[in-house]
Amino acid sequence: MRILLVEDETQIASFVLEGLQQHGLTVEWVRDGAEALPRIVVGKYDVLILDILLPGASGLEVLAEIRQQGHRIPVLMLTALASPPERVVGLDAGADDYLGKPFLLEELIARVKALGRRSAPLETMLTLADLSLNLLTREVSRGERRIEVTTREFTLLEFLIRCDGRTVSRSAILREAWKYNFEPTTNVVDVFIKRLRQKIDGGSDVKLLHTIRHLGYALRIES
Amino acid sequence: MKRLFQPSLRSVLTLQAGLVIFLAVFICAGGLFLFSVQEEHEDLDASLLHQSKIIGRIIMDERSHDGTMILLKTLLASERDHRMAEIRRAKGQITRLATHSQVPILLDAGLPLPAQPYFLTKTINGHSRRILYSSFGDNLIAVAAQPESMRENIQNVLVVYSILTVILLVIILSGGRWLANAALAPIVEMADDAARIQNFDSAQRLSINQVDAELRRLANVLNDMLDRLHSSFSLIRRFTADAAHEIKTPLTIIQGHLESTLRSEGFPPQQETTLLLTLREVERLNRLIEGLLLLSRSDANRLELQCEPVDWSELTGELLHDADILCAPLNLQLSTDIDPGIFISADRPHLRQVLLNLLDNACKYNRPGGSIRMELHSENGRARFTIGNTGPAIPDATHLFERFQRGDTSRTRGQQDGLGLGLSICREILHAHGGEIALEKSANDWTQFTVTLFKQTE
Repeated sequence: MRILLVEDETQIASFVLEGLQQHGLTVEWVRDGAEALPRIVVGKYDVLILDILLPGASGLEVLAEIRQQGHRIPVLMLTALASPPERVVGLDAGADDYLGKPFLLEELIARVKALGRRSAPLETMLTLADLSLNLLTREVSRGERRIEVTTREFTLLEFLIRCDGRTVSRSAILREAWKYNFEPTTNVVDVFIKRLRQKIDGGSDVKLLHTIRHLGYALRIES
Repeated sequence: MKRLFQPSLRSVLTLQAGLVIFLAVFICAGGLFLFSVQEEHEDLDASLLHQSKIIGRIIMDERSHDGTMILLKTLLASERDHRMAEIRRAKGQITRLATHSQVPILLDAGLPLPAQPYFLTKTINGHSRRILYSSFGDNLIAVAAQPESMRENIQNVLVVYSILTVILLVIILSGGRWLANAALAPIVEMADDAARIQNFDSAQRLSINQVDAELRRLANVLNDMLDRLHSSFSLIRRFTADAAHEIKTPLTIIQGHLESTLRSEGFPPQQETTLLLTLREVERLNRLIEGLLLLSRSDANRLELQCEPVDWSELTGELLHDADILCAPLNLQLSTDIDPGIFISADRPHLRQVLLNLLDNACKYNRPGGSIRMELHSENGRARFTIGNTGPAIPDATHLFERFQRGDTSRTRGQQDGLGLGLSICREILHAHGGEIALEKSANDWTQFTVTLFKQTE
């Protein structure tokens, strides 16, 4: 998978580059928006990670230009401006996803991979070990055992499976399951996960839903 | 003290103009009247003196008594102020002459001859008379007039004057009102224009083309003020964007480094706790910045709401799932009374944030085994949401909705890392919706908040 990162802050760019490369992704990095545009036209990128406040053309301008020229490349906006109205502006301009700074690298990777898969044919089933999610009937089962889940739990399970076992932060879970860009100070996520874990891992020897201390949660087969 | 009656500028101007003009007219008329009376007096005295001289000459040149009498009577009749005259001849014979029936007695035999002519005002038979005594040789002549009869004329004039003044006053008051209206019209128009420029962000300004010089100055001053407001609003908007970028960039870098350190192999586990605590604080700082940005946007009137019809009853129903989750660890009892189908116009994510925040507080400041009650009702075109919880009362509620207020720190029970911005954010969001939040009660193991919003009009 080939990725173009447009980010003016060297330090952020360097750890993003490092992280993405460690996960076997090919990343190229440019500093400003003006430079990004001709690259996209020529290069065959699968995903574009775009900061908004950039020297030269702003991220939103670059995005508008890309869409105007008819490029359908998936775009992830990576920005400090992450309030709900700003998200709406970004998504209206043609962004496919939006990640506010600061972010967990794992989450960025998960989202980038999810975006890269978009071009792939539509899946109907998602599986991890003997856990399977039917995206059409919205049924969840573990082996032969059917699991009753709420809409919110299903949304979160789908998100966690798509993250390929990567750690997902509490704020990411809030955003995905609650569509909510604000962190309550209580342990709503922890209690929610605890319930979900009982449903998923309750009757099985192989535990799938893991707590990654202080960072968040991950759905994966631990060796 | 509150003034009960506040007259409009227009009425005040009209009344003041009326009063000034009325006073001017009154003073002029009074002065004119006094002047005329004085003039009349002097004229009368001159006339009396003149007549007495003629009478004296006629007597001195007397040829025949009857002829003289006719001449004198004709002379007296030429004036209309009831002239009369009495003549005492040198021999002591007194002749009385009058133009009307009453014959006054002006002089008698004993009156000495005056060296100089002199005037006297005397009331005879209830009428005031002006009398001139003078001597011609040994003859004493008294000529008198009754000025009242003339003063009637003046009084008539005065009555006409008064009537005219009243008519004038009516004209002044109605004309003054019209003038005041005309003079104030541009100001009223300017006020309407200014009211229309609600969004200080727009480049819209007051028109100065069709305005008089005095008002143009006012318009210019207002426009300058709008310019300054405009630039300060732009500054605040830029500031929030820049601040978000400037603060979050280092946070992102710190978090990135912490994360990669935590994940690197061979990392000493003893240092893990320190790093995890640091990571936690970075997250906290980030939430704090988000909250401050929201408040600064709200201060600048820049809290952009994407309002749509929202079924508040349904949204509250959704909240119950979260409430279930939040209540479980403290073993709280949740009860509700939610009227169905209450629609409001609101920004859904923001409203959800308010509700979740209140629910979060109701759990956080509760006591184990306590309870929470949520109600949603509609009354008088408003929707009213209340959420109450058991637990200790808020000790000092006066500044509860102000920034960084958390009531008493003991309420936070140590492990809660509330930011002290939650309630002020709730209030700003609700104000932006035209709604209200209030602490209804906080005593005796029960704290209750009320949120009021206008219902969606059909």
